[in-house]
Amino acid sequence: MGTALVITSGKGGVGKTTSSANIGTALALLDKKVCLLDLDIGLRNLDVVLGLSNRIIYDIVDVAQGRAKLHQALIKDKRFDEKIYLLPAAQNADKEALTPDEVTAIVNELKEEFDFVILDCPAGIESGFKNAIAGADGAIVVATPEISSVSDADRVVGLLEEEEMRIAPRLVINRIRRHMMNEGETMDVDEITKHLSISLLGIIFDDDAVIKTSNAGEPIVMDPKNPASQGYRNIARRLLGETVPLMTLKQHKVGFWARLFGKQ
Amino acid sequence: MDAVTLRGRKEGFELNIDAGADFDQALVALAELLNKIRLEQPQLGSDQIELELTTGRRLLNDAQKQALATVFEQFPEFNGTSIQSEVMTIEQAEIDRRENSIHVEPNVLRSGQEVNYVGDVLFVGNLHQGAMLKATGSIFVLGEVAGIVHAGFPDNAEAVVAGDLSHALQLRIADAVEILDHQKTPFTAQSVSFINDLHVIDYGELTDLKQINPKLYRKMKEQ
Repeated sequence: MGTALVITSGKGGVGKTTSSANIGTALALLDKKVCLLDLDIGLRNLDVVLGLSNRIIYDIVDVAQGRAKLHQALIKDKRFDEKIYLLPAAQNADKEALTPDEVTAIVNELKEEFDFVILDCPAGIESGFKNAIAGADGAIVVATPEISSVSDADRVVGLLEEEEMRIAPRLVINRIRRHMMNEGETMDVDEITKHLSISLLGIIFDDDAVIKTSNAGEPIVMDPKNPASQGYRNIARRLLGETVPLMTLKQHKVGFWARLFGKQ
Repeated sequence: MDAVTLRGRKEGFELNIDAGADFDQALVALAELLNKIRLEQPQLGSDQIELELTTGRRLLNDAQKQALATVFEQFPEFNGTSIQSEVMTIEQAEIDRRENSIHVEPNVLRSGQEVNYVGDVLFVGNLHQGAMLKATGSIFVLGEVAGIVHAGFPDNAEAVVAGDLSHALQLRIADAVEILDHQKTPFTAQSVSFINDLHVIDYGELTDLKQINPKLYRKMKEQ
């Protein structure tokens, strides 16, 4: 029996979908069988980030309403033999097309077959959010070091705590700009974690390559050297129970001579 | 012992309905007693006589109170509407206990959450921005507050808020709202906020509570 984790944030644009794709892929790289569920009905994009949009035939609403069988709607990511599957959201239905019970039923069916079921939650705290958390055993709250994001995350954590899930919600701080945090221009990791008073699952540094790889439909975790990728890989290892130290915020200063003669 | 006895007291007349007597018989005895007084003292009737009804360890229900009222309707020269009992229902006792005890709130109250209390609150949790803590009584703050505290909800101007509110957004006491300007009002753990004689939120030190709110001070001493 697998574990269903919802990735949520309250605020939009903090990297829920990117995190879903990358945490899912990182788990698959660690030899786990993962199913990604896009619950952003009407505004789906997890398929785009994974580069699978051209293969969608049926979606989650088709499954919920009995027009398709679950295994017909699942899309296999051929890059990771049999390790990653995607259940896409519907693009032409609205958020009310699903009910929490339908989502729970689908998630429970998937949990029998997969080690992890990752639910990509839509922004906001309305019906889409309620659908997403209904089926989940635990939650990963994504926040960026901005006051608006932390404030929304606080609200979401409150709602998640009311839900009393089996696994307590955990925090991922995304898009950390090291120079700003080091200079005290944004809230630092400890401050955010203490404010939200939930345990920290990991930190992800802001990196241009994340956007670049997303656009190419290839998750950043495929590149083992990239700092954002390492952050996601560490998160996946922590999810499996390993103890992994937090990445350091200190930036490596490039010296004058290295800048002159160093390779780009 | 008679089912109904009339005593003269310094404060007036006390009419005791014996708790051990059958209530229907007591009503008959009461009617007889009142009738006797009416016959013996015919000059009565110009002034209505107040009778303080005591029921001892019996608690009258609504039907019994109604039956009593019907008896008194026949004797308009007596007023028997005040009924005292030595006992109360568990429900009422629970309400009283809740209103008069201090509640401890140890949780993290997050954005969008609102917690209501009847009575006083000792707040040892963490009140985040966007959350609200409401109490009908006073609020004593030990934890961190970055949201809104509302003491004396909805109209108890006797309530105070004690403690450090230096990061709070708003302070409300009864119907008064103060948007906190932290340059103007420096808070410490010994600060106390209250409603002054002009019905405006004012600030002082806990050591001055006796002068600020003597009634509350006495109540605290009694507890």
